[in-house]
Amino acid sequence: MISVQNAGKEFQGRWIFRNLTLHVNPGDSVVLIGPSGGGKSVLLKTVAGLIPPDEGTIQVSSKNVGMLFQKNALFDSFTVEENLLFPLREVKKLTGQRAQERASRFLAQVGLDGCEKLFPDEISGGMQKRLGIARALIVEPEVILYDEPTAGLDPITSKTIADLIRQLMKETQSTLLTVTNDMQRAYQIGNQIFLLANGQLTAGGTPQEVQATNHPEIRQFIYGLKSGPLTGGLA
Amino acid sequence: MSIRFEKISKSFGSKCVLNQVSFEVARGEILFILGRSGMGKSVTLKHMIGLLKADSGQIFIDDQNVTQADANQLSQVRQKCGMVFQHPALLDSLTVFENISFGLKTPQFIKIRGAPMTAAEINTRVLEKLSLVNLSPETLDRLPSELSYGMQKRVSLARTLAPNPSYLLFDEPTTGLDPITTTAINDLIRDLSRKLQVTSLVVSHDMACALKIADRILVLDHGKILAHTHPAALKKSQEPLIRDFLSETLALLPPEERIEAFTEVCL
Repeated sequence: MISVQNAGKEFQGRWIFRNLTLHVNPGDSVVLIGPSGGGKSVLLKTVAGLIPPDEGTIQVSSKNVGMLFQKNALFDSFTVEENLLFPLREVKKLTGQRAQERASRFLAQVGLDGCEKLFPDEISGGMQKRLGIARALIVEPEVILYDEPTAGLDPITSKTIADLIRQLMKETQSTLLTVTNDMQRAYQIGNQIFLLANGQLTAGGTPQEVQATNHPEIRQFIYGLKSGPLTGGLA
Repeated sequence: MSIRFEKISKSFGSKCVLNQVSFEVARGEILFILGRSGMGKSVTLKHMIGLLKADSGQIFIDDQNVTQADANQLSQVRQKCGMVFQHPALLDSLTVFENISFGLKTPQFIKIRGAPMTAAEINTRVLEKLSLVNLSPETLDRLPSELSYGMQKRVSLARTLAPNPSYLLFDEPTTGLDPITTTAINDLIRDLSRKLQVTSLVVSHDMACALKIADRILVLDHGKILAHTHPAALKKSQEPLIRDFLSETLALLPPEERIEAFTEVCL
């Protein structure tokens, strides 16, 4: 479904990653973890086609890709409902009664029914996140890219959002690529977990395998250990 | 006793965020304030430095009644409190030296100190704070944009420390950070609090951090204090919300540490 082949991206003479290869099969859920500034979001944006790679190829075998941005990127001047009607009109060419019904259905699915006429700044951070998810999903994408879907949310809200992501994935048979540093969410959302650090991608395996790993970099990262091969922290 | 909240209530519109909240913080203590979003954690911090006015109740800091303080007294309270923001919030166009020394040149600081600091005194103070956060003097002439995010966080902390505050107020210091950086920030909070003997209040969602470095943990929920105790006792709590928070921390521990933690959390 997603095929990244020897991809490389450089910024100002520095390679963020290089010779990076990653395949995500249809219906699979892959999570990328790794130190801040290590290129996870950049990789996600190259898959979304928002940033071209400088080397290699990236193929997504569907034109129907949805993305949830880290900061939601909601339209402030649109109501909750209008945030969903907009992509329906622009992408699906769907308007009127049918668009309204579909928006209502998705709002109910993310638990935002009753908030139709509110503006994004009138709902909580967790609700904004759920609206962002509804907006990414309303065009029924086959591939969904989640950039830090729970960053800044409290753990109870985060857990609910991750449950929702898994549930919707099952219902829509979609393929997921998610970036997160919240390890609980990585275990909850991913079937396979990869570490992106120092420009290299390392396969960690399933959540169970990752938690029991002896791979020095992965172990240091997921348990936040001070000593190990990864530099970072406050360096 | 250095901080005392007495029956503080605060509502926003019809929403009651703090309902007769009372607690005390001992000198030198690290207190974590935990809770879900919107449950009054940051509101509590803002009351402490008079950025919000309580509907009723009183707050004492070093025997100063903050809730009845005039502008002058409030300014003195604020000089004692160093606020550490979630993001570094450095002034982009100023060098590291200028950022750290900024608070030493404000009229409020000079008024309380009685006289301006000399250039030599400022220099000594900046170097002292820089070494506390483990940065080398070579960084002094750099601009924030030339530093990594982690270094910016350190500079930000050095700036907060410069006027020698008695209280450090941290607003979600580890939110959104990767696990290695989270550990580094935790260590820094604990080491600085001990070394400088300051009292630290940390607003956070992160139960794992709280269990590691807090002396006591205050859990706020729907305007009330659900728990106010030390980490070992909190692990035995039967409150559903606290158990939800606790169960979220287990998978973050290496397997060999889990068995012990598990018996404490789940029995």
